[in-house]
Amino acid sequence: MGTNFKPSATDVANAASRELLYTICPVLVASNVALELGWIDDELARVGASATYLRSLADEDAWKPHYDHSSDRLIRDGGNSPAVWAKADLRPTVLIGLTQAQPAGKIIVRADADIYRVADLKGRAFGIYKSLRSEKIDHRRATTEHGILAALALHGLGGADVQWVDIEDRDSHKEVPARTPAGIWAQRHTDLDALVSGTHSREARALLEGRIDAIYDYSVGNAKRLEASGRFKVIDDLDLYPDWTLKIANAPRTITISKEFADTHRDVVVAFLRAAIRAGRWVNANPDAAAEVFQRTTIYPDASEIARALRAYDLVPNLSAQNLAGLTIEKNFLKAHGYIRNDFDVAEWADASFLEEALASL
Amino acid sequence: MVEVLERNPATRSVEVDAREAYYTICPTFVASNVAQELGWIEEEFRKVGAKLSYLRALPPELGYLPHFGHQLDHLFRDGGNIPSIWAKADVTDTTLLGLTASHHGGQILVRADADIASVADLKGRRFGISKSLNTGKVDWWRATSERGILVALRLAGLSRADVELIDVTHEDKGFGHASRPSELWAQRRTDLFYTPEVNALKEGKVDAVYTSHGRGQALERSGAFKAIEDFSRYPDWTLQVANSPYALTVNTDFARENRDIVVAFLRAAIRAARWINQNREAAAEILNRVTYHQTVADTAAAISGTDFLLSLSPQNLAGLDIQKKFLVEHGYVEKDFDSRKWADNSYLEEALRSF
Repeated sequence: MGTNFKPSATDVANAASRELLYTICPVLVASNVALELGWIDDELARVGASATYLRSLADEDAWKPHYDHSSDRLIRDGGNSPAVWAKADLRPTVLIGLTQAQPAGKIIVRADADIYRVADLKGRAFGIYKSLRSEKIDHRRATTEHGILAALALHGLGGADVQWVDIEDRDSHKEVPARTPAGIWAQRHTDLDALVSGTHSREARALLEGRIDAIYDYSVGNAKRLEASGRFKVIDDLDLYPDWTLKIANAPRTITISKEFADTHRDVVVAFLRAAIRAGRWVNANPDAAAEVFQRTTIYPDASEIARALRAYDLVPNLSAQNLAGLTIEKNFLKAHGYIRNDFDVAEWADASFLEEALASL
Repeated sequence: MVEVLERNPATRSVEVDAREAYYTICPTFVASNVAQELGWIEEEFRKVGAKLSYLRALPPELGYLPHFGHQLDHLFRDGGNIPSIWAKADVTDTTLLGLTASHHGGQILVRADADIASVADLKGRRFGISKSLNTGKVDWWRATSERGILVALRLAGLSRADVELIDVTHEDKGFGHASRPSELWAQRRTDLFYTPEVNALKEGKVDAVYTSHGRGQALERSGAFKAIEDFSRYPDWTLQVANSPYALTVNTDFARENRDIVVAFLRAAIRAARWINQNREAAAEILNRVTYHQTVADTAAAISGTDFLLSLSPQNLAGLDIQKKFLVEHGYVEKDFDSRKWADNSYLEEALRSF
């Protein structure tokens, strides 16, 4: 297999055409660590290729392909909703890996509320995120809607049993370009601290102000911060139930690649996956060390909470039957709730041959 | 009949030196229990030329009621917050120095052979609830049980009107004559588990009782009981408020005049907290002697998520307010007060800075 990673003479001559664009969500996926440790650069260099971060580009719309995959040479790792949307409605991509590593989500109310169960929320108001951007899928809204409906269903309720109150966000993406994702999220960290001083999200503020009665939170560590203020309590946590399908929303995370690039640069794609697999194994073996790295590459507030979360997850990308089934559940949810227009077959989208080749070479 | 002390500031029958302080600690997961067992409070006191005495070494007629009402001018008290709140509200002026959160709000226990699988099945049935006949102290165990029962009913979609609450009375006589807490609790290990309402449950006089986590675990091992509800299984931290977060308090006048002694006590508690957080298995051996859980392993498991470092964090103060609100609304405490003014973080800050 080693020969796969030696660039051909033609490849070296066409070095520019072997440049891969990448983008990674601020979430727990191995690519984030692979990048920070320099392994993506190393693996790509071995095949005469290089990787450029999407949001290092000076274009003010550089963030858009992160959602719509509008590039013929983009690899994307992160939340599945934009990837599903791009595949369903926009352009051909190939699914080459999945990672199930996201809290299933918690239902949070005010600490002094006379609310002890989700059932007590019948007729009450749930906050739901709404991006004011029309040119992208509203993945936060989709994830929140899915989570709230799951929590209601566990208590014999449906969407019509509660009020849904939009919590609007201009969703500006105003960060200045940065060489790597950590440079973007560092700007977001500063913003968040200044913006919410202790309550951490628009939804939490709306809850505190009494505009709504409950929120759904799927971050790592945010709930703990909210609790520490003494003003909020978690009345339900979908991770406490044995049903794994409750964990499905914007995860399993997807690694997707522009189809034309996958078809013509197989070795570059395999090189990227080698880096991700190495990083995934390293994270699994060293959750505390990895948490420090993830704190810089996510918008999660607390390294010790990240480390705790990592202990429950396998960060090596895979295309397991369970994860593919999970992704199908989410795709069907997005279709049924109008987030995507066209249906497609997840199994046909996935091509395990890249991952198999990468695994065999390690 | 039990002696009843009037609610006046302090009993004058105990002679206390100017630089002497008494301490009393509940059988709860607080760092001062370990600091005491390791001799660190005495050590820190010696450094500032102060003398440490144990309240419960006094005869019960002198030492029992001040454990609840703080009626002794030079007293440090750590443990269940219900007596501390009552003492501050209705008995004597104290200062709150620190809080320790607990993570086990308690359980609902029924007989193991009962055809009762959940709290919802208790609709129309009888809850036994302890009632102390000692009017000289707040009935902290009744208050803890009452809140536990009401919360359990709420979680099951029921309310107080759906069940019958049966008072199970007991004389609640004072006890003491122990040189230190481990000796005091060693005298009472069995009584700690078989509270009067548990006996009533065993005898079939009631269908369910509220119990603390450590008691419930030990009682289940008898084979006679089963827990059908356990608040620690819920993510809601406010459900874990049960005579907690534990409160460390001291008489206000004493604190103002003897700041160095207060800081010395806190230094010992902070040292112990850091030691426990680093050495939980070792700490479990010590805590097991001075708390309710039956075995060292039970104790180790119960403290795995506890941060023993005293804190007046917003969350701990909010927990205290939840407990206080309940006590006021249900008549356990007459006068409400502002817990933010009760708390004085300057002692803890000074102690933390001194390392």
